[in-house]
Amino acid sequence: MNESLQREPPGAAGSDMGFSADLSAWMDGELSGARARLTYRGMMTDESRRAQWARYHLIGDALRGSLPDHGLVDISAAVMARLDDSPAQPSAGSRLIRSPRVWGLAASLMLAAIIIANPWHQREYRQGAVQVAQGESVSGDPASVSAAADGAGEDHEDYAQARLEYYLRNHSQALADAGEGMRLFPYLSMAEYTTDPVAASSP
Amino acid sequence: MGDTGAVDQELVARVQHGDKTAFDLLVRKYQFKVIKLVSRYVYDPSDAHDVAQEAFIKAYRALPGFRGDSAFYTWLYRIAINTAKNHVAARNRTPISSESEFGNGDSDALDFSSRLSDIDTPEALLLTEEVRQTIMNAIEGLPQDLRTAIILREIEGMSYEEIAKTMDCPVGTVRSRLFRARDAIDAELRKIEGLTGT
Repeated sequence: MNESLQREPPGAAGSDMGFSADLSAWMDGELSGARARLTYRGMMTDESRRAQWARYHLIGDALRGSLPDHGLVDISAAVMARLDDSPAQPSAGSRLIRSPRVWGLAASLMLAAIIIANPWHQREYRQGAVQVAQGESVSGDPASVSAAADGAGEDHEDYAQARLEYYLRNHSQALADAGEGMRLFPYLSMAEYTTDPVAASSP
Repeated sequence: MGDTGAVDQELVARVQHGDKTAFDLLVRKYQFKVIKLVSRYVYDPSDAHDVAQEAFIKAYRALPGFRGDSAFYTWLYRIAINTAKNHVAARNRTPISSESEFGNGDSDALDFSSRLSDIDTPEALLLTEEVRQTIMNAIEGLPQDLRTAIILREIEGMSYEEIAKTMDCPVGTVRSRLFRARDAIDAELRKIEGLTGT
């Protein structure tokens, strides 16, 4: 019934007093650094130590009155079995993919690329230039109007390149301001990037 | 130091980097709290356990997006509550089966009996009570200094430094007293048949 509590062989816990003392301190948030990492690694490889972790928390739950009123059933084995059957957990690197901000940035970059490369837009640009040349009014963004007013002879590729550079420059600045740039474009920052969450958070 | 939230943060970071064992530890730590919470909304014990499982699965899948703006348990708490409410709403939308499907008119009774499982058995209830009683008896049997330390920590939620001030002793002594208290209670828990398999 209580699988995670049962999985320990009798008498296994307590045989390693040093580990138990560190486990007690670590679960209270009173152990850090190398010993905390060792304690965690000890549990990673030893089911009996994970069972000990569960019982130590069971003691706290009982004292605080947090135990369920109907049946003491361990669901951890069932949860982990269901997770084992499901697709792999995305790593922190792919967290960016789920970020709405990143999706927004990606969408705006794509939109910019479409606007710049869009033949329909290029045709409109040429028409605008002709209209200005003919004294007609032109609606649109200031950049396109000023480009058109500069004369119909300007190469539209130079114009597209200028727009792209302008857009990317603004976006890089916006990303850097938002702090997102460092994660998306690591070369924007000279800061060292580490993927080990524990090493990164350790003093 | 003294903040169990920091331990949760470390475990969450490990899960976000693909370490499933860290999530196993989070489940073992919070499962009874979550089951008790869910039981406020879902009265059937079997359903409550299913909903608690579902809440943990949802939490695991959502963890890559968890940025630590709130404590892990606060976040898990919200997921569990929402999962429980959704379960109740879905059950309320489910039409009651007709008499012909069951061959008698007491569909509610049949529904209830079909949901009975080993968690509702007298043995399971006795085990819960036995665990509670064992822990309380073990605490009663502790030397005064160990008993005070474990109560200040687990019930009052004091940090080691606060306990040290209260008990007028070094922090290292608090650490030792808490470990010895837990170890003594754990030794009694491991004697319970059905909990340790002995």
